Amino acid sequence: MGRFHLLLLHLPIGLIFANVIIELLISKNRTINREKLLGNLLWTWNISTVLAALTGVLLGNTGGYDDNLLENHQYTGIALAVISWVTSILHFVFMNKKTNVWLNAYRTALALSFLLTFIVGHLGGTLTHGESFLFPDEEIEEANQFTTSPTIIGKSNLPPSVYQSKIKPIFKANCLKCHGPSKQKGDYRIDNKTIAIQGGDSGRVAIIPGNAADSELVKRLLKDRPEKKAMPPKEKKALTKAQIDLIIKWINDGAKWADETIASSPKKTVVAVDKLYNITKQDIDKLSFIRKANGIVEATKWDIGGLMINLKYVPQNKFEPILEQLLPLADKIVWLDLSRKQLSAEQVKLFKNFKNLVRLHLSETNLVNDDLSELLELKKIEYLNLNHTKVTKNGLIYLKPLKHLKKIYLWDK
Amino acid sequence: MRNFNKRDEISRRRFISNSAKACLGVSLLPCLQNNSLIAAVSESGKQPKARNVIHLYMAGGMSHIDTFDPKPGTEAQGPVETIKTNADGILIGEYLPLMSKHMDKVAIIRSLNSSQGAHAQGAYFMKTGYIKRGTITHPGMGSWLNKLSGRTNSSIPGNIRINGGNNAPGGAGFFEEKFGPLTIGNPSEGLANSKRNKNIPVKQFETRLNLSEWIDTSFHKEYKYKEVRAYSDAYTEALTLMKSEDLNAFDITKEPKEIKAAYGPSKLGQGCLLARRLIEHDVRYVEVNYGGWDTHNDNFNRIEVQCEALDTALSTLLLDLERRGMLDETLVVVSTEFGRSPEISSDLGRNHHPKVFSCLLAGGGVQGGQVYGASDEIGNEVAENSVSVNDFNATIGYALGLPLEEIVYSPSGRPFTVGNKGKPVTAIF
Repeated sequence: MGRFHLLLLHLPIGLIFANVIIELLISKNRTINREKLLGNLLWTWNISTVLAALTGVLLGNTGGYDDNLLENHQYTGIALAVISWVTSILHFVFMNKKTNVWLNAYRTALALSFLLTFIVGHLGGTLTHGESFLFPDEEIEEANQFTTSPTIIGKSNLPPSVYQSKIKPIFKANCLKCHGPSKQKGDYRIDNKTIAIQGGDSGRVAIIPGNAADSELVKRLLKDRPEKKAMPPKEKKALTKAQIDLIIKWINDGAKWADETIASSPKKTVVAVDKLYNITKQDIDKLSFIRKANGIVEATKWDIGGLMINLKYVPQNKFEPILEQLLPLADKIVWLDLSRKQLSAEQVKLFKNFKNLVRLHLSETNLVNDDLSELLELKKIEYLNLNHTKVTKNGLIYLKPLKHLKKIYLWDK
Repeated sequence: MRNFNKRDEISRRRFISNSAKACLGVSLLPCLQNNSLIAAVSESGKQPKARNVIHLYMAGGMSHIDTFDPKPGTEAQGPVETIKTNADGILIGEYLPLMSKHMDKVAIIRSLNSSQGAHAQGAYFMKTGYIKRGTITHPGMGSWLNKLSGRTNSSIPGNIRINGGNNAPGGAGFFEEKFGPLTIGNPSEGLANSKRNKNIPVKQFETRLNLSEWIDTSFHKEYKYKEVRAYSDAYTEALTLMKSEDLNAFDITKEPKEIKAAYGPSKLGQGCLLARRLIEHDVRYVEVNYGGWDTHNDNFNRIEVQCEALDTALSTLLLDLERRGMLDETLVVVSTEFGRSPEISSDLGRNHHPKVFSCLLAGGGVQGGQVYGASDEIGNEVAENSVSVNDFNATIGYALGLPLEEIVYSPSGRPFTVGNKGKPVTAIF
């Protein structure tokens, strides 16, 4: 029933204008029959005002409106209904007594009603359309421009369906009424990715992909309910702990929106075709033991992709097993640094497995000339650093078949 | 507000593409959906290889016309002659005779331009990629590198500044203090106070450390904050450094006399030598500052003196890095806050000129012997391929393989990226 308010409220607005116009006409032209013309119109106006007020109260009770604004609109609306009756009654009395006192009283009441209609109408308009409907301010215009270049954030391969299946329904049920297409309280809406991330009036970033703890959205979800900034506000249904946890997890995973996959997935496929050795996060994770031993593992930014592994600062005792542990991923390693290491004969024999090496650092190792014969399988190697080793010019004869080898270094102090 | 509500409306193109997918079970070619992909595919063979950076910063504003962007035959050139180099068609100023034999290792960017015409603001912009503001301090490139990629050698600091003050721009900014540079005032003196005082025996030293740790324990337990941890981190780092076998990296007296001499006696030369030693021990970022370029008067005599130091230091550095096999993986940057005006003042000086100036990049996968961009006939404005300070910083980030799109948030929740959304000059790799 409450929704009829939106229809009914327009009746009293139209009728008050009609009443005022007719009243003005009558005051100028006394020949017009006041009772016939105005009497019934006034009563229709009274009834429509009351109906609008009643449905208004019903609609207000369904919630989802700004409390302060709603209260003002409601009370002024009821006041208008009362004054409209007062006006009609004064008119009725005037028709019986025909004295100027009653006429003036009636006209004052009518003028008051007319004024009040504007106030109630404006409050109601603000309630449904928002503050900046009449005079959109510049900040919002600027924000609009910003959305024309959407930024893609988050690169993990997690399924994007989480948003569609779980997160979106939570937002829809709990947030969208006030932060959605119809209303944007605090200039924030959660159904639009850019604004949802950027945040609203508070100036704080609402969603920081990968960092739920610092995201304003999460802070507000976690606030105690009586607090002003807690969301949803205390009058509304609270989110369950499970729901909040899910939102936190989703943000920590990179807060992936559903439409992001459409934009970013083609890029991934192209790169996968282009790169010879595509490195996944799993590859890097598999090599976490190197990081623990003070070594470095990185995916190169080369066009062919591949891994860079630096074991220069891995202590010798931790280094012993590592070379063998690298074998499963040996094909993907393009850049290897084994400087400062003592290599056993068996370890030197492992070199042939690293077929795709482009850069190899062996400075300050115990390598000697004959060890270089173990490098012949490294057909793609371009750079070989043998500084501060026992390797001499004579050993380089072994490397002659390596067609791509451009630079060999034999610096010694 | 009406526009506001349209924000989630899909574009006509997207609508058709989606309908095609839905109705016909097909998708448009991926390259049609994202133009940048075409560029990514066609630029093959680019291998930025930089691991570490030596940044030679010419404080005061190095005259581009008198050094790496000469304008022979114009009034702007003044009395400085030009010389040919070992890179075809590249001319440089006559006061850089040694560099003329190493230009095959260097890419000159002649179209740099800055929006900042004062020293402090210009240096801040060049070193951080952001314009100086009162509300926040931005981190320098060395701090970005250490934050995003981390140290190689964990026993010595990953970011070192030579010949510079602690408060110069390009520090840790809003990052944790440990990513900021360790400052070395005089390269010849190395790292001050890094050895245990001889009057204190090892045992007593350890006792004192344990005592201080014991006193701190309860406080640290109660206040588990980043700022509190930073203090104990500083102690731990200092102690690791004191024990590090790489501590001798800071000591240039260990270098042979010939090498010390080859770098030249200037603070820049000795700074470059120290930088090379540090990079050898895998410090990620070394900044060497060298002032005196603010030649408002007597430009031509002063430029000769300035250039002598730069010429000796830079040419030796490039050669030394190359023969040790380090130039491939070390990006050498020569930058400044702005150039100097083509007009020569009545004091025979040149004034600040941010509209166009030159910087150098070498090593780290950069193809030497080339010029990127150009200034007009008199070196007054950019003529082609403009490179902004953001682009320049992004190029350094690209050479290092840093994620240029990755958004890092300051503690106040503001988003920042390496090079502030500049476009890397990939053409020079």
